[in-house]
Amino acid sequence: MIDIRNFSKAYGTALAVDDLTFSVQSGEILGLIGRNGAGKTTTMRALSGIIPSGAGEFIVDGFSLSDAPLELKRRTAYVADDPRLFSDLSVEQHLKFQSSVYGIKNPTDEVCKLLEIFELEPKRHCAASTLSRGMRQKLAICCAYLQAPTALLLDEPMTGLDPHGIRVLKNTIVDRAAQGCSVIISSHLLAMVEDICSHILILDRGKRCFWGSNVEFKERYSQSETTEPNSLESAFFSSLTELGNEVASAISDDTGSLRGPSVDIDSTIDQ
Amino acid sequence: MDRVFPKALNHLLWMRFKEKLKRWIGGFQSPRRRLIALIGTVLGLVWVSQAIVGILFRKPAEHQSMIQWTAIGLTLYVVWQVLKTVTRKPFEPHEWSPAEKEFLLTSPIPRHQLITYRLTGIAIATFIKALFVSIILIPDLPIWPVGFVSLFLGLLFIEVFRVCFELVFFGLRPKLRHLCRGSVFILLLCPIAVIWYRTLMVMNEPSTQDLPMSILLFKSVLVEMNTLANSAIGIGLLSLMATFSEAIFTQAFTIAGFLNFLKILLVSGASLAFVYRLDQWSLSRAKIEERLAVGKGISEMDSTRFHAATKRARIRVPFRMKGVGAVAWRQLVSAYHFRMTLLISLGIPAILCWCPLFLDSNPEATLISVVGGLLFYSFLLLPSALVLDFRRDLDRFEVLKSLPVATIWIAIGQLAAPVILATGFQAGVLLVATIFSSIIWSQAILAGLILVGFNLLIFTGENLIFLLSPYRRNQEGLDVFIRTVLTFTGKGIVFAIAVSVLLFWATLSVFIVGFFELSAGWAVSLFCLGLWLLIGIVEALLLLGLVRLFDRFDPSEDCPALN
Repeated sequence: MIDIRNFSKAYGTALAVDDLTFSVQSGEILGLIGRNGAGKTTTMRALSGIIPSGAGEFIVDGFSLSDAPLELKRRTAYVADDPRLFSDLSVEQHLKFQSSVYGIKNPTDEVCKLLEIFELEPKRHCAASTLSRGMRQKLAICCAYLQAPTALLLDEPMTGLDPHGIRVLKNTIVDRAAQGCSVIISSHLLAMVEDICSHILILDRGKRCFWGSNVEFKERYSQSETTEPNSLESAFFSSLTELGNEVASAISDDTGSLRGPSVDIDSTIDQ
Repeated sequence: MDRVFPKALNHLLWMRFKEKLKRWIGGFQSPRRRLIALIGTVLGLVWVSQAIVGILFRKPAEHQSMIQWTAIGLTLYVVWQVLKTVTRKPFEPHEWSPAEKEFLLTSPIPRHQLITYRLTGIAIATFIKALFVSIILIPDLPIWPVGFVSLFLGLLFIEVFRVCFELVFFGLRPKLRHLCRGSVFILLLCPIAVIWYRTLMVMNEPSTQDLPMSILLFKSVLVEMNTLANSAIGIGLLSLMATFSEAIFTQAFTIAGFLNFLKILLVSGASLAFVYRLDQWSLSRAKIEERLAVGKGISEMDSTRFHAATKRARIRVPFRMKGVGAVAWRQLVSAYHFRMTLLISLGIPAILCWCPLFLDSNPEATLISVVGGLLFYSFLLLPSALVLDFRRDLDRFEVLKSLPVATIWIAIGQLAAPVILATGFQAGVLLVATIFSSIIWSQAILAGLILVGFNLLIFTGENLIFLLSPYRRNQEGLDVFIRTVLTFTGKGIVFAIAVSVLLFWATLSVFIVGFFELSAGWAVSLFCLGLWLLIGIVEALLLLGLVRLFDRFDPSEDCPALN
């Protein structure tokens, strides 16, 4: 289970995330949606201990990042949108490194299985620097899966993947969740989010706009007649105007002045 | 002008310069970077005051000797550039940054304009370097403006030569490239071997036996370099750089001087023009190589079949050891990839360290000379030869920070590879020295143990400096030059303090032993004990600093931009 309470983060004077609170239960898949710069990646990086958080508490399976960072990291796997691999290490050496760090005693079977399902077997002995964008993404996902995390954080995981890779990833995410893993996926691919996510969290300018189940979200915002009814996409676009106004008024209430113009996406798209 | 250099590129250069300046000033305003900005300012002031004192109170060096040593210095700089190019992996000419590749190389800008853009960047950095050096050389330069311009042209020629050499090297077929690499090493080893042999001959002469060995060695190397420079081969090798050197130290406005200046202007101009031709040649060669590679490429099917046989082999996981094992193993795998480069960069100092073995001297003096040599090269060369720690992982800090390993173990794991390799190198040198001379084993082991502590200090210090002010490797430019000058000044100050402390402690040890009327052996024991204690305390402090800095490092804010 992932629990984030009152998380805030600022870069210089710019507030990236503002008092964010949410949780993901075991077996849940949470889709993190928002515009560019909404604070999605910052939230994930802070949760995985990469960047220091300004304020707030991160808890995974009862282990807090401030009190037991190693226990939290042992249970958390983060796959970045542009994975940073060790250029000198081969595909297999990456998995060896991961096994060593996470104390996996005999990883042979699991490694073979992962390499096979992600079609990396032919590249097993190739250096990471020679891999294509999609293959690097697949290797990062293999590394994450190998450690058998209870909290899986995926930042734009479909970037660069081929159709087969996308299908495999979607299936494996659902499988992991069924085994009790809490998953957070940040993505702009709303169809994919609708397919596999049980819950939705919408962020805008660092603030939480909506947090609830997929069904609840669609029920609440499926009023638009411009696109296909009852889809996450139509609900999302119809929610934008309303949520945008809510955020704008929230910011206005906090500071006394509006920090940025509220954009009416629907009218912009119509234009 | 627009045809050669479009307005867009002109603006880009100017905007990048402004942004760099803004970021640099911003460093002073940010509370997180204020300490490092302060240290940088203090070191900068020390360097500037040192330079001013040198300019005001230093007597000008002898004119002819300045000409000769400047020519030697510039030639050695050329050799360094060649060596740097042939040992670099992976190889690519022009060093385009990712942003330049994505924006400039894909934009509708002709190739020759892109080359002009690259050369302009090099020229600006060279101009500032030449300005710095010529200010320090004010007492030695008879006509400063001429000296400055000539120095700028000399340094620019070397940089352009490097670009040309890179283009040629890149254009070669892989086999020829290996041959070229080997030839460079052989050509480099020949003069080193000659100087080494002749130095040993001179050092064994009875008249020179009174001088301390390290000073004698340094002096003899300089004398032999001078002798080689005055030989027919040396004159031939130095002739081009001697022309630049003579122009730098021109004493009066004469016709001969003017012609010499014209010569270097033409050489520099011609080398610049040559870059464009070579770039075209290198591009066409790359295309041919690509075509050949496609022709004889191994099919994916074959490699799949090959790997299918090995895929079920049991995977052996490296020892974890609280995470230290995994992190160190990763760096050692990288070291294995660069084994030839490492062998060469450690082999040359090893040969130099063994010089004292060829002299007729007592075992203690030989040991002191070998250990002195090891200390000197370890301090000077090993940190840049063994970049197998935080310094090569700037873009992977995210991965390191997300590992379930305590920061102290990550730091120790990162430092392990360079310390192990440096210790292995020193142990090898000491082992050979002890086998082939009358050095006492116990003394050699004691010295080796002290050197381990010294290695820890060197690499922890280097990483601490890196985390204070992170930078990208293989980056050129003014900020890199300033950082190098400041780091060098800082290291010089630390070295001076360390030597003073050691001398003080050695004197105190002798005094304490004398006071209690103990044997001389006690003085050595006391000195070594104190030294280990001191190294231990300083190392612990440095390691704590390193851990704290890595903990506070924020990859999203503290990583320098990719140019």
